[in-house]
Amino acid sequence: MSQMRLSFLLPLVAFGILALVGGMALYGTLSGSRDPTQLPSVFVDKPAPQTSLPRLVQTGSATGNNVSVTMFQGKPVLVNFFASWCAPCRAEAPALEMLSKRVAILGIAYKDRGEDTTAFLQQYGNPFQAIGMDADGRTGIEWGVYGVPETYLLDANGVVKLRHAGPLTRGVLETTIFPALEALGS
Amino acid sequence: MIAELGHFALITAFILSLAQGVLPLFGAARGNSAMMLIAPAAAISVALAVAFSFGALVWGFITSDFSLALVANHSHSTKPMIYKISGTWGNHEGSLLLWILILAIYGGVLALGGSAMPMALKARILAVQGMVTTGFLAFSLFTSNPFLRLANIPLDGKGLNPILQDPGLAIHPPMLYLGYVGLSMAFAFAVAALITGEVDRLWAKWMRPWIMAAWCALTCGIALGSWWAYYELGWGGWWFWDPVENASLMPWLAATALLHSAIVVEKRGQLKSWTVLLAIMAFSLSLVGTFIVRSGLLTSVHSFASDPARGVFVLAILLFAVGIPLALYAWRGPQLVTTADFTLTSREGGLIANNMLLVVATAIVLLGTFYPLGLEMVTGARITVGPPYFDATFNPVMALLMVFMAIGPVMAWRRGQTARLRPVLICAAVGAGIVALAGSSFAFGFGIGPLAALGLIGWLGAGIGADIWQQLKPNGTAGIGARAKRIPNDVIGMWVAHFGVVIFMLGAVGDNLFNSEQVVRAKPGDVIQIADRNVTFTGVKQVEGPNYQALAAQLEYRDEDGRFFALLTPEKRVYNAERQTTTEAAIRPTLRGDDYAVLGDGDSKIGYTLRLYYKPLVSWIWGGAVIMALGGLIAAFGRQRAATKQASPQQNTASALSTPDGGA
Amino acid sequence: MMATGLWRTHILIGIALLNMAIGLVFISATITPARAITAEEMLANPVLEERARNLSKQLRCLVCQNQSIDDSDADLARDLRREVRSQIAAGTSDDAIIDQLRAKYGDYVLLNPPLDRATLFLWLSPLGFIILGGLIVMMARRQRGAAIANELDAGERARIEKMLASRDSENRPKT
Repeated sequence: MSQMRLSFLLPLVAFGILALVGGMALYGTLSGSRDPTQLPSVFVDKPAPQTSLPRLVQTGSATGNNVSVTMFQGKPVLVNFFASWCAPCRAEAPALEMLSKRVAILGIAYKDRGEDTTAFLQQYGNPFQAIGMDADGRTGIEWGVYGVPETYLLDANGVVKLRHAGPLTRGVLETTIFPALEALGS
Repeated sequence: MIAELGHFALITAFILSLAQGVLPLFGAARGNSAMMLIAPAAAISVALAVAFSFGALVWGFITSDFSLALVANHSHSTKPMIYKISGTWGNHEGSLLLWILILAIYGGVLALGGSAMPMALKARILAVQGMVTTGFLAFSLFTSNPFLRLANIPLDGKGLNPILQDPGLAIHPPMLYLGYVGLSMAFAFAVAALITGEVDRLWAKWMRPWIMAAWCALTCGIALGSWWAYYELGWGGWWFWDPVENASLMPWLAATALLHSAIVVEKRGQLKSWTVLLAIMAFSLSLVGTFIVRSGLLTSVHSFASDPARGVFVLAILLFAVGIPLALYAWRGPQLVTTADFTLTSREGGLIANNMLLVVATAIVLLGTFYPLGLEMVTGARITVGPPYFDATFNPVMALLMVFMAIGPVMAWRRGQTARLRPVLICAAVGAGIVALAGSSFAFGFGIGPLAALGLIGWLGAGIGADIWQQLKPNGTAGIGARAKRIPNDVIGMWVAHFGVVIFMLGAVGDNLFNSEQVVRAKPGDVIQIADRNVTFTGVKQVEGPNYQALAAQLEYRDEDGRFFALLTPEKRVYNAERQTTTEAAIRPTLRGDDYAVLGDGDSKIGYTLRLYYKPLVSWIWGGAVIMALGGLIAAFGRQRAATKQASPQQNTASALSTPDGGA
Repeated sequence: MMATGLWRTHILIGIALLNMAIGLVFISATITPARAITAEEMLANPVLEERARNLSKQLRCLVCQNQSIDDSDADLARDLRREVRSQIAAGTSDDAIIDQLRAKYGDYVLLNPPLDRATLFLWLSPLGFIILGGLIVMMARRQRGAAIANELDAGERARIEKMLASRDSENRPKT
């Protein structure tokens, strides 16, 4: 008889699990601890991809032909994928400006043309220590980029510590970026 | 003014349905007729009130009353009238009101009809129905009020998503909801049975038309949705295992199992507790579907604007509407178990196999849909469960089901016998072989999978044919006509519905295995060959629609002899108000197959990308589904013929009531 | 004890099941019509192009709602399609291409969930459900069998035997 009883309980138990999953997910979304638009990056706690890109030549500095992440070995660096055609990138310009005083930023212009990128930087400011041109988006795919803007924080050894997809807003800076920078001693 | 009246009507409906949900239960428990009679009275009043409310909302859309927030956000003055009306349910609040309307109407219909039912049973059923309606009315009134006004009235609305401006959309949700919500009636029957702890064959008999109505509507609704995706989304695909599609498939699978097991309850008095569980599950899956669509937890091309706060309310409804009945089932279910008096190799056994496979299929779809969310909660990892998974797990289960479909109806009740079975099996096997070989002769080198699919089609088609022939062939005492007259409607309905499955499979397999496609960059004057057609691209034309501008490619289709037979004009449209671009495929449907053309990017200098397809038998997919629904309709009017042959209805009722498990 | 006719039926059913139940698993892997692709993207070699499209059907468009990169018009989908084709043209195997993209985007990019510890339950469940269903059916029948046996107690059974025996002797044909 008890075996039978158990099988009558089964639907309720199955439903309970479903409701629990749904409830946890809702709670996470409402409390902000879960953001369905953020895909966790595969590279967290792994070395950043080896990248070497043509440098965007700005009037004045033109030392060497290519930029790469290894240029920044020995100190933390932010890698920011942006584009002139990307609206949220304009919104995060002030945030990048502020960050550039604390940490070096490597900018990668994603699927952009040199003249458009230059115009963008002239209009919104240039917070980048160096800028690489990823004209066909291949480097973006190497890094697992799925949209712009995206920002990666690398530690002094070139290991990725975090990835944020989307513009760096005030909230994101305070909850995510600043704590991570402090942890790296910057 | 009218909107305020509509809002007021909704509040009235809420209070009335609350009364409907609570008072009759007390009445039935105490035998108080006055309290029990509240149920039908309230149900009819609620239906009228909600109908008025819905009408008020539709009126707001028809008159483009932009002081209503909903109309301002989802409509536009230049929209064609039909899309103004259908825009009423092209959004969360309006579609929720449509859901409530159909709930109320179903309750009202039961209140008006169902005179053969004992008052207590009817009161309990309407009470359960009333509680569900109350929950949804609360959802609407407290979180999704469709009648909110705007302080600053905009000059014009934001428009309706162009993809939704389509005749298919006008019918798809109402049809789908007739199905989803219709299952609430079977649910109410089941919960009422659990409350009293009694289930009998009359209960199953009264429940049957509600199951059939909901199942037919759901079949048509899903077919409509699939057909709409086929011609609207421009990919030529018709099923994507999208979470919202899965949300409609799961109740359909459960409802199919339910309509089969209800047969066993009605005819043999067996499988009672199982049928009660299925009825609860079917509507629960409808509610889970609502949760998926409106909570924003699962990404889908179909979701309404996601709002997790609303998701919480739906979850609360789920906990009450599903949790309580399932707990009741865990407690009372064992009481309903009857002693089995059949072997497994019998029609009952066949129907158990049918039910088991359908429920396994439902579980597979449910698990696949929710697994990514579940895994994310446990480990934080994000994965995708897409079509490859479902094809690998769901399809084989359905294939097994098709095998049994040819065998089950031929078995006898209780003990089963082989006399009728063997010729049918032989015919089926032969049919399988023939179709598989014939199909593979059309195209060389078929793999095992396609061969198996073709074999299944032959198996089921020949099996059904053999069964029909066995029942109709002159057998010495009667000719074909006389035998045909004696076959009850529900058997004819079964044949038609199962035959619909064969047609559906032919469409799915025909399109998948034998389609042709051409992707080219064409300049005006180019001729493209596809299947046995020659298509001449003569250029593009600017077209002006009621609320859009379009670029239409002119494609002249000629057959092998050079005779012109059709002009297809696939378009790229830009909608003025919404500033959105859509691709409108040009489709020429025929019984043999569809010509399908899509215009891609390009310009006059470099040419235009054209994607041309020929899809054999693809409309048989939806034709098959419609035939299935038709079979259900025929079976729903089922007992007429057989009943006139047997004792009169009064005698049936009397004999049923005199058995130990008589009506409540 | 089953009659031989029934055994033959069972064998027939068994063979049919074996042949037919392989199912539609491979259907979706046969001919795959192009969806969002443009003429320029396609590889010249039709065999390689077929490989590319089959692979594309297994990769998720990350910026779309539930579409494969084969179906989607999005820019990222186009880039990924191009990436897949360039890898195929370079001679990389299908599995290696999937692994490469998985290494960059995670399991989320795969429409076909991989078989590993996290998805073990997912992949084993369908068979598990069938077994569970069968167990429940069998358990229910055994319970009912026990219930039937319990319905009559010894004394009642003896009385029934006596009644049946006396009726049989009445009905025996007069020899």
